Amino acid sequence: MYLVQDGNPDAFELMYDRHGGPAFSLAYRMVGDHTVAEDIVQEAFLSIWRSRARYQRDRGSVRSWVLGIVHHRTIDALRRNLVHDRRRASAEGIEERHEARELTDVEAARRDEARTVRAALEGLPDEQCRVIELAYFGGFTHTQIADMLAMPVGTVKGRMRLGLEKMRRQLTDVEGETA
Amino acid sequence: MSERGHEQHHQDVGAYLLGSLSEIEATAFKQHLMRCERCANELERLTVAVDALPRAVEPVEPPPSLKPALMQIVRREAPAPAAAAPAERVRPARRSAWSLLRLRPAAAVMAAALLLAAGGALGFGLAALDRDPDQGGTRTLAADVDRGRLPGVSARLVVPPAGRSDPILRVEGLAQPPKDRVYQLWLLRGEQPVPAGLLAVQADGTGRTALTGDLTRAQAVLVTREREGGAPAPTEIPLMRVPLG
Repeated sequence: MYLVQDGNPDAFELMYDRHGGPAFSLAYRMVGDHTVAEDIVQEAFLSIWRSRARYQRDRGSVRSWVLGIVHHRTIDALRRNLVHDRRRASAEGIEERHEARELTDVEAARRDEARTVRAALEGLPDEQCRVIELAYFGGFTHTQIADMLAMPVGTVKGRMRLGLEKMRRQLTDVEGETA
Repeated sequence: MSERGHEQHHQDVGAYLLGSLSEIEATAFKQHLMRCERCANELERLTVAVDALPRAVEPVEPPPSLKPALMQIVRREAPAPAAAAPAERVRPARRSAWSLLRLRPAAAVMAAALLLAAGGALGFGLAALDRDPDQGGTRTLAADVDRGRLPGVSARLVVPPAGRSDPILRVEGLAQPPKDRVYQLWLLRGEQPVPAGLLAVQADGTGRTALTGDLTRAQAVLVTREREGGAPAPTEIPLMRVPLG
């Protein structure tokens, strides 16, 4: 990452090779459209390149930083209605998936990790899982979610917090067991 | 922070982390965070869960057009200072004496061990003179490639300043290994070659990988072709070698 911060394009290319796939997968999961996801990821990586000096190692991993930026950019796109027609579809699931062709060791490990996180998410009570998915993957605000689910805003926020707390505990337990 | 202020914002932690507060609400919550240790602690704890969420997504292949389009802009915008022009600082690799070795397979393993143990007393010593003498920031070191076995292949090692990040080996013109073989990297420390990762090669003959392991006390980075999954020790004469010092 220091090479990236020094403005080394080769190092940046390596960073894209490592994180571009997960970044595109996240954007595509949220918008449900290849072209829009491609635009978002390109914008996000250019923003990362142009603001590379801002990365702070003590604030978290490069992966979390990159995916956080992609997530914010995707939410911005969703809220600008760039993919208005896709929003509900993307919140309810993916209709079309193009899975990675080659299952390398790294990809296999990522799939294992994906299964663990999905198990933690799907292990939540339905109402908590639903609000988290609508917020994080659907890009909906808590007030929109409250309208959609016909429940008070405070209840939506409470379910989000409780759901994340349960996920955290479950993921921490899994890491503890495998350590 | 008063209890009332805390209670008012406490429920916002999850919504803030999930990105579901409006811009105004998010700004207010950030201001609250600076004054409320409890909420800041809660935020830190729950970040673990939110950071994990993108990992729940099924992998989807990015369109092939994405990377070239992105890298075209990045390379155009890249600074061209002395420290960030590795290609210009790479000196052409000299044909090494060890590339002249032509041994029968049965003798190759023993010869490889002897070469590694001796620190490459043949061409390796000459190749070391080709090192980029830059003592400042990032260094780019040309690899000495066995032209007999790898004609048309070039490689270089980009080494960041000590302790900053992993060195990156880049190759060009390298054929993909047979199905049951891999290219394996080694760090040569004294007489001991230490596994330093595998090198994946793309269909276009390019490959990049970050070395695992510390370059401190290593004399060279080596690449050999090994059985699938890698080997605990090299089983052939190195295909390429990057002298480190």
